[in-house]
Amino acid sequence: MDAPAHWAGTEPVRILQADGTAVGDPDVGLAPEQLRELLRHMIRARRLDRECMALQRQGELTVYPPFEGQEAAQVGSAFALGAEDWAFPTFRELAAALVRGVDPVQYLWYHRGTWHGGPYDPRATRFGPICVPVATQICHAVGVAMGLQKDGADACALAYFGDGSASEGDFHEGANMAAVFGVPAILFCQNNGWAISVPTGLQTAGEIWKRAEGLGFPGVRVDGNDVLAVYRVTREAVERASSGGGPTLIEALTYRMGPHTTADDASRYRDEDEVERWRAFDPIERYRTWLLAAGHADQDFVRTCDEDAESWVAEVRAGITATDAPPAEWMFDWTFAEPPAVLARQREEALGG
Amino acid sequence: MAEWTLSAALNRALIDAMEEDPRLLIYGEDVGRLGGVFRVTDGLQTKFGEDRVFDTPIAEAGIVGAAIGLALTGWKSVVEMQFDGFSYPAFEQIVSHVAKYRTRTRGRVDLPIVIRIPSFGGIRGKEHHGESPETYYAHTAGLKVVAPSAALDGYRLLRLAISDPDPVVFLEPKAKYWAKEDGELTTDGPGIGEGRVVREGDGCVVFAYGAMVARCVETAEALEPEGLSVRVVDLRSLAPLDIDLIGRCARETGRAVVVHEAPKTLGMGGEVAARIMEEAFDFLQAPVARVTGWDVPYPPASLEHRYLPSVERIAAAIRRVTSY
Amino acid sequence: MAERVFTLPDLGEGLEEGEITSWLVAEGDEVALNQPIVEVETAKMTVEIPSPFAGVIAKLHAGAGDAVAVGAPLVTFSGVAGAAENRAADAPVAPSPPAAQPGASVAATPAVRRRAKDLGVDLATVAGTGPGGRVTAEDVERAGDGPAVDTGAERVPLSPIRRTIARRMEQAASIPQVTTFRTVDATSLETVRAELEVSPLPVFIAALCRTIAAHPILNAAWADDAILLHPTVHAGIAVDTERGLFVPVIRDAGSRGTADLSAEIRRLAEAARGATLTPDESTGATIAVSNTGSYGSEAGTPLLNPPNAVTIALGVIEPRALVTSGGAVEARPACTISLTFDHRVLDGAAAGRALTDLVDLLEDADALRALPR
Repeated sequence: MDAPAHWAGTEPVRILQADGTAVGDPDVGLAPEQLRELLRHMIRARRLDRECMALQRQGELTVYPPFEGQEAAQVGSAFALGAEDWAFPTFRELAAALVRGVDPVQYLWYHRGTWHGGPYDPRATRFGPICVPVATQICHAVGVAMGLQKDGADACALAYFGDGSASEGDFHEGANMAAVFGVPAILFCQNNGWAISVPTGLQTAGEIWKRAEGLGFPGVRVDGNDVLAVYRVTREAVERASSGGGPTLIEALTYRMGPHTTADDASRYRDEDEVERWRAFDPIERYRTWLLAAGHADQDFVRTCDEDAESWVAEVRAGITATDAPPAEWMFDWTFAEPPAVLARQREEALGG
Repeated sequence: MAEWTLSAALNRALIDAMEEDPRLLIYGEDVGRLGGVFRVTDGLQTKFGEDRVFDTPIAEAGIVGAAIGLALTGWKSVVEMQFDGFSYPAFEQIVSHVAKYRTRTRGRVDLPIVIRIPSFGGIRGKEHHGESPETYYAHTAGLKVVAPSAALDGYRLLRLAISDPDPVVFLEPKAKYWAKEDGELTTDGPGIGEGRVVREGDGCVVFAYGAMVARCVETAEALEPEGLSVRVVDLRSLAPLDIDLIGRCARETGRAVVVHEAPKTLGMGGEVAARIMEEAFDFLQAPVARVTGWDVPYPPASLEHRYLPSVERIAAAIRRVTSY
Repeated sequence: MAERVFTLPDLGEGLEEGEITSWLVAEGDEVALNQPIVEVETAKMTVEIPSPFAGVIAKLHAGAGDAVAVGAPLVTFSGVAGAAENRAADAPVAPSPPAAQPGASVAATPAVRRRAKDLGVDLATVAGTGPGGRVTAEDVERAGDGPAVDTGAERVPLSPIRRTIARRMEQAASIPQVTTFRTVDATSLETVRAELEVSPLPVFIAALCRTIAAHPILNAAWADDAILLHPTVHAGIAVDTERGLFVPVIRDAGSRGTADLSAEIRRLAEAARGATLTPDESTGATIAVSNTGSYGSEAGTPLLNPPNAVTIALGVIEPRALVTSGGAVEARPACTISLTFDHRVLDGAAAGRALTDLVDLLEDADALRALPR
């Protein structure tokens, strides 16, 4: 079947095609155990994503932005980062957060309205707070990359953003600064075809990965639903960054199977047919097919993944539904390192203390 | 006794801070090789090297956003927005992130960032070169906003701003960059969150900041022969405001005037007047007067003198409140 | 195992309600966690809601086609393995009141300072009885009365009416007003009023209305940027009651005959004393008349009744030694008319001319008889 509009143009880097057969070299330098890990991550991520949709419909989360369809783009790229590397998400990177070791209940504090950004420590997890002003996090990642460069650290910073974000000024400013200073940054665009209701074709007239050339650094287009290809190109970008080769722009072509968020009715701007057609490009399907055929995993393993995901998700549900509203003090306690007298008085008034 | 211009005092503050903290960086447009369009960063790149003092592309949002990332990796930043009117492209990064990061991460992430902005008018500048943006920033919870009025306090405030773990917007009155003051540079003295009395008096108090402080002192001196005893307070810290000092001065004198270049509506004068009402209502002998810029876009050089609070307008307000 | 009520959540950022499109389960059904149970249509979209619990559908709280408010019960489940309910949000907190402020100078609100200035009271000499030693309005008023010495005086509390009268008198006193006096030979007035079997006051008012016709400036008011000349005379008459001074209004006095005026005056006076005056009867005077003679006053300086430009008082009618036209001194009934006028509206000459006409009329028995009865 035809690839959708936003995939038109330059052929992306691809190892596994939609039906799971390899058209490129599937040896990306991962051991079989790690190859199985990729599948496990994607299965858990999707299972949690669907549970979060349910949780929102049950009033346990306020608004939730699903990422179904984008598992390979996020898992493949996050898996390629080292322990010292940083990642900066937008608001749809729960799968990447899981791979990076962020606790899912803490991550979901954001969507429960418990606290902005979640309670995880960005410095400890090297995973930025959820960022809704799109593209602004690109500049933060570039700043981290500048800091790593100044420290001579063998590490890099990856910024996730969407096709919509690429239209923002901050994308350009961050990318340009990254190139001018030659910093170890990876600008990872998940082109999922939609920015709420605006298709990529209305977002840009060009191909996003090509902008890097104009700014003087390498760009690459990859099939974002092919986890092996995503892993490979991200790994190459990490190595380039670590060896002082500067930044890379990666455009991962994928598709947003769900609505923009639970508050969005996608049927108002796209056909359900289109979404169904995308099932044929499903990242988990194709990878599982290949993994089994290549003999790196068996049906037992797949079943175990499904079962584990089930019980793990129940724990996450239990954790997030038991999360209370925080004490009102929290509004005041972190505005400044030391609350100024004026704020201390307001705090007393607000808390009746 | 040494003589310091504001520009030289700020330059000295940057040198001393850079020497004290090897993880301090200074960057922005034209701050490196040129030393800044007002020479505030003059000589710093030669002294500390390009790794620590460097020029950036014209990318205000990128500069402030990068400062956030650098803070995450343990680097402190003094960034420069070349002019007040050109801080606006960074407004989103400042308001949506710089101000909120500490709260968002529940205190895990400090952003020790100083955003230096040559500000205010009085230099017959072009459009966008005489803005008073202080209220936008002072109104944003999570930011500290300070504005020195002269060289010695400029040194003190910049050193304090750099060592503050919280982000500070540092508004430098460009009309006063070349004004001189005699004295020793020191960090001893009032901190951020404190104002200072620059002229004693008990008939009436005038609150001002930035370039207007000197004008208020000049006015007070001119009124002395009329038998008026005018106290002048340099607010210097706009967020947080020194409410205690404001209240005490209002209570002691019963008559207050606030002077600022920014337009009247929703300017700092309104905040100061409200605080005076809260802290000193029972002691007021006259309504608080505000002498401010008009509620119009900042005018061209040819009309600037009709816009900025003049000695005449300030004197008229002082006479009004003291004869009420 | 417990019962749990599931309420309709806000499915899409600020929705207020949803309409049940169709139930996918029935009461009594056993359901699994996340099993779809209902389709709900909202302002933005149609949504399938998965079951929040594993359990049994005990009750469906609405039917297909019904609208359900966000937060209202949707389904009651029974047999749910219990998890603790979420704790309630923090209790609301009342702000603490601001503390009183100490200070070296005198504490008094701006309004009180103004009053002290008006009264010529030095705040520094006044002992403040308000919170934190604040000088209050009462403190200033007392100070304005002179030093507070305990004379053993009885404190009579103020009634609302007394307060209102005081306030109105203060207001009146702030208007620049002048009183001019005229002595009237009341022989004709006394004769004619006896013939008409009325008291002097109705005749006086009728004569006054006739005078106003020629001197409309008496029936006027100050309006900051103009002088208002009222076309109709609505005469306010001062009535003394136990409760205080009232000024009921004789509407369109100029169209009434003396008998009518007499009756109306009596009626209004009774209503004033009986506290049955209606608002219509208490407002709208264009000139004020005071029969000060009724309690023996010879002459006075009646205060204006704002917004009226004139108050005119009729003093007591009693024998006086008058010099008649022949030059002889005779005992005649006489009285003094006191006319207070708003000097922003009238000058002395205008007031004087009007008074002359009024007095001429009052001293002319034939003219008085010609007044409408």
